[in-house]
Amino acid sequence: MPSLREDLLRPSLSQPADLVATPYSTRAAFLISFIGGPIAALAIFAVNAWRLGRLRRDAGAWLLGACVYAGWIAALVSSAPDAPWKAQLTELLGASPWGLILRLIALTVFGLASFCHRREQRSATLFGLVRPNPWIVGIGLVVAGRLPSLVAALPT
Amino acid sequence: MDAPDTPTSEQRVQQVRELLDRERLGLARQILQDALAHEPDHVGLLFEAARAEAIGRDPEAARSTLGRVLALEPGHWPARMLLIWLLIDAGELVDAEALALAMLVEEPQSASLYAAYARVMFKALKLDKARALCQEALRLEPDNDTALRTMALCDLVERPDATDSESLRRLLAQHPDDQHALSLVVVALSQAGRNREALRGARELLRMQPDEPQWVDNVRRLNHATHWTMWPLWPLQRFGWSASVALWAGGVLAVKAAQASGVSWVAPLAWVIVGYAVYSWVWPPLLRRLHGIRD
Repeated sequence: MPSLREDLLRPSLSQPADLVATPYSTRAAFLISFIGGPIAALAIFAVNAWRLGRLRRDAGAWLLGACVYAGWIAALVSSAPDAPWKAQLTELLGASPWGLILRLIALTVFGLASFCHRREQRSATLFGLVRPNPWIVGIGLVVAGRLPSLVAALPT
Repeated sequence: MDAPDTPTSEQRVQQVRELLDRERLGLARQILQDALAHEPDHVGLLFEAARAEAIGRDPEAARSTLGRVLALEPGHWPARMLLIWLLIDAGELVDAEALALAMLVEEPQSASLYAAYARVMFKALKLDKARALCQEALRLEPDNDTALRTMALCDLVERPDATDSESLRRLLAQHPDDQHALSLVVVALSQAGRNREALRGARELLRMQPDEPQWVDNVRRLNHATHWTMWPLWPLQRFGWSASVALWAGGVLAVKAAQASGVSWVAPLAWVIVGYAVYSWVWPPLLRRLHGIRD
C-alpha cells in the first residue's frame, strides 16, 4: 500500500523500558555544572542523555566536551610551571585563573548539553512533567567533580 | 411501551452528543441517567456516558464505562479512539501505542488515528516520529485539527520562537475562537519573551472560560512575569540560561578588566553584578509565592 509508511507503524514503545524518563531540569544541570566543574557537567550531560535514551546520539557532543577538558588538563600538566602562556593568562585573568577556566569549560559542556536536549527540556516544561529530585545526584556529582582538586590540594 | 412523543434511544444519543459537543454537561448527564435506567446496555448511550465522564474529568469512570462498551461491542471505533486519549492522559503510553497500532492495521487511512498516535509519540518525547505521523495525518486530511495541534506543539518545543508556526496559523484561521489554539499562541508568545502579548491572550482565554484553573494559572504566571519588579530581569527571562552564563562570564571579565586598568570603581562594579545575580535568584520565587503561584 503506497501510503502506508512502515517505519511509522513500527512500535516505538513495545517495552516500558522504551519510555524515556524525564530529564533533570536545566536549572539543576546548570548548578551542578557551575559548582561541580567539568567532570560534574560531563556526568550530568551523560545522565540526562541516558534518561532520554539519547546516549548514542549525544556521544559526539559529549566527546567534544570531554576532549576540551582533557586538552586543557593535558596542556596544563605537560607545560612548565613558568610557561609564557601561563604567565599571560595570569596577567589577563588575575592571580588564579585556573578555577575560572575550569568553570568556563564546565559551562561550555552545559551549553552543549542544553543544545542537544533543548527539545526534550522544552517539552517537559510545556507539559509540566515531574522532574526527578536533583539533590542526591546533584550533591554526588558535585563531590565527585570536586574530588580531583580536593585530592590535589591535600598536603603531601 | 413508550408514549408516541417519547424520543427513541437513538434520538437521545444524538441529543446527548450535541449537548456534549457544546459542553452542556449537566443536562446531558440527566438525559443519560434517565435513558440508561431504561436501557442499561445500550452501546450508544454508554459511549456518550463515557464521553460525559471524560469531559467531566473523571477518567477512571470513563474507562470503566468504555470497558462496558467494548465488552458489548469489541470493535466500537469511537470507544477505542476515546480510550487512546484516556490512556495518553493517564501516561499509559505503551498501551496507547499498542491500541493505536492495532487500529491502524484495521484502518490504515485514518487521519485521526495517525494524529492520535502522533500525540502518543509527542508525549513519549519521540518528537521526530510525532512530526512524521502528523505529516501523514495531514497528507490524508489537510485540515485535521488534532494533527495541526500536535504539529504546533512540535514547533513549540523545537523552536525558541514558534509564533510564526505554519500549523498554528492554520489552526487559528480554521478556528479563531478555539481555546486550545489560543492557549498554544499564549505559550508561543511567552516562550518568545513576548509576555505582555501573552498576558493579553491569557486574559482573553480566562474571559471565555473563567472557571478553568489552567487559564487562571496562566494569567497569574504572566502577571508575575510582567510585574514591574521583573523588568530588570528581562534579559534572563528572554534568553534563559544562556543569559545566566553570559552574565557570569561577562561579569568576571568586566571585573578583571576593571582591575587590570586600575580604575577606582572595581568594588562597586563587582557588588552591582553580584547584587543583580542575587536579585535574579531570590526575587522571582519570592514574588511567585506572594502571587500564590505553585512551582
